[in-house]
Amino acid sequence: MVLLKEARRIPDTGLVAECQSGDSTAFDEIVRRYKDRVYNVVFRFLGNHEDALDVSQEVFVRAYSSIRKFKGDAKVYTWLYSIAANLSRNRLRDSGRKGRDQGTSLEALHEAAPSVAQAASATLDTPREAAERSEMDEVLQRCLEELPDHYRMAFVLRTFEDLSYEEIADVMGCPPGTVKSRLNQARKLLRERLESLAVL
Amino acid sequence: MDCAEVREQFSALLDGELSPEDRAAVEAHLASCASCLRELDGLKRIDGLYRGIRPAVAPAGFEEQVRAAVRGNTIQFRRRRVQAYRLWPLLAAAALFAVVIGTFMVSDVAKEGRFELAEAPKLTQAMKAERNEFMASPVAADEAAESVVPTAKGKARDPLAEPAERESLHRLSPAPAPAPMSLGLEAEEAPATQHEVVESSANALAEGVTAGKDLDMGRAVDEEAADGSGKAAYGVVAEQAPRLRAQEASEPAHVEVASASPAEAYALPEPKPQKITAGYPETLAGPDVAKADSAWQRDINGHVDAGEAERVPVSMEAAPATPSDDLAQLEVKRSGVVGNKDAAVRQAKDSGAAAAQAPHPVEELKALGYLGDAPPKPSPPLLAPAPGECPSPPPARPVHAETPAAPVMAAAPTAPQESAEVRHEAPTEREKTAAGRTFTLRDDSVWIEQGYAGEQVTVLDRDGDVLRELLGDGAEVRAILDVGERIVLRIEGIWYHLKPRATNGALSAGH
Repeated sequence: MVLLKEARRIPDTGLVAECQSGDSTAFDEIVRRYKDRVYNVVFRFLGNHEDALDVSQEVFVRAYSSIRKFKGDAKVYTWLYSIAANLSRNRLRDSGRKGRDQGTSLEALHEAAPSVAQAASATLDTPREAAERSEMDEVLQRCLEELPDHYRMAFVLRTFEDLSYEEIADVMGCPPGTVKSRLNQARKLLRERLESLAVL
Repeated sequence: MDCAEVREQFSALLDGELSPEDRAAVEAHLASCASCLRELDGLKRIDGLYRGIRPAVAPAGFEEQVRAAVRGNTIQFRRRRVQAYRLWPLLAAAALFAVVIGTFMVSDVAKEGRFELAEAPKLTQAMKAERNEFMASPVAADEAAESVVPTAKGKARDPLAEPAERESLHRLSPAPAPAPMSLGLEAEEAPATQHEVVESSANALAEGVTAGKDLDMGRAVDEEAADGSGKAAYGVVAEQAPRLRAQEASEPAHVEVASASPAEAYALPEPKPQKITAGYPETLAGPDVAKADSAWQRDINGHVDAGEAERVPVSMEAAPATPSDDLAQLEVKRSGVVGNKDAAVRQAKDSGAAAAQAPHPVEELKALGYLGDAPPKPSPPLLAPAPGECPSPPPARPVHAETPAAPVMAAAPTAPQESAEVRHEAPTEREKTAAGRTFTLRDDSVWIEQGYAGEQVTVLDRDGDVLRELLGDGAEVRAILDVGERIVLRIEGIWYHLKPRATNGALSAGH
């Protein structure tokens, strides 16, 4: 078993190997490294913190339960994002069945996203600017949520996580050309929407 | 490269994913095309806005919760296993019942060459006597599982050919009801005899499915759904059911057998059509993309998730509200002038020359009633018509996913004139063909292209730039647009809902 201190110096592939040999401390390190990134992707995709918390925790539980099947030729984070993308989409589908009347309205999003507002206001100069910034973030998030799922996931992975087209293609299981097309469409749709709101 | 081709490259250009040659070609075009340059600038600003959002971070305690979940408490996964195991007794009972009835029929026909209905009551009497005797025996369940194996595996051997097996099957005709497992019972903790019965029956029924030994039963169930082998096992029961009912009607002797069995009590639920609101358009760029979309639904283990198996044609009515609907409804609530053109005109007159001012975007959004705690306001002058004019459509249309028969559309009485127009053409013609596509008029005045089965649609302004970029501006496109005001059609594998500006998008509800 590796110590947590040592684990922080081990590359991802080494951590996975440790996990596969039964060392759960190594998995703790994987969680520590990627929890925020996974959480951010899921939150941007789903649009509310409650679901984002559930889903991102489940991502790691799923990863842990199937880590023996993980092959070294993939990157750990693309693997985690793949799981996150599947689970997020499932969650969206399930919540759609129940009626997405909670947590998606602007008020509900505002209520459910205090950390975003706080984070946005942390380094700003004046309360007015901070308020404008958080409100703008909300509008941007709402516009993002209006995109079709596959456009949105591609856009989130590219814009917030800086994944390359190849990596996004791995995560979404599609050719890089399709990623390019989806990103193009996503940006076009966002531009139209933001222009209609007089944001652009 | 023309403008359209260049604009297709903009995303890759912004992301640094263009080859040097393509980049040079795009930049050469941009040097001489102000319109494309503006377009690119708009996309850059969007990227800048989104990249400026502070990332959401996992809340405190996240790691501890994950640690607890992965080390001590995998409730969700175990529940799936238990649920999967609960299917096996059901399957075993139903298949056993089908096999017993089937073998009776085969045996009778083989022996007599035809059914002897007159002899049936005698047979039943004998069976009942044997059954009652057998029910007292504790080994009934084990024999049930053993006897079903050869038949279910499709081997040629007739169990009834051997007296001992026939006796066993006769005894089992009432199919002992399997004791339902409790929810909290772990698969591993199941009593040995029950586990064996279940497993042997499962192996017999779902040949080819590697279940049972692999404790990831959730996966096993998914695999059944994906490869159809599970359906084959269900199919045994499903195919037998009508036959059995027919047999009950024509053969009183077997009615007793059937009524004594728990097969009806364990009747498998019929698959119901379900509504999908978050489904994908099928493909963006041809079959390979469709395959890729499908692949995305497979998780990292390579198995198909439930969503893929469940994707079925959907009803187009009464779909749950989408986020877009929420937004529209929110704005309906805030503006208070939805569908009231007179009110909009009055507000426009009241607004006067304030339209000339250009407020800060956030202020503007507040004025729109879209942001924050701003009180509901009438439609802003920016989007309102000039005094004395008819309300003009908004300058640009939002494009968003929604279901075609979303509540907002149905509820918003925005355009009575439009409805009248549509009704005017509806009684005379309910099907039109344009550019090789056939459209059918739906009750809500939307023309639906043939082949649409309730998939998710992306709403487009029928006069907007996006549509022109997708379809071009040729005679065929004009013919399609002439079909009606609102059209659902498929473009490159994706379903779109073309609407006129007055009814298009969430914002229209507020104008």
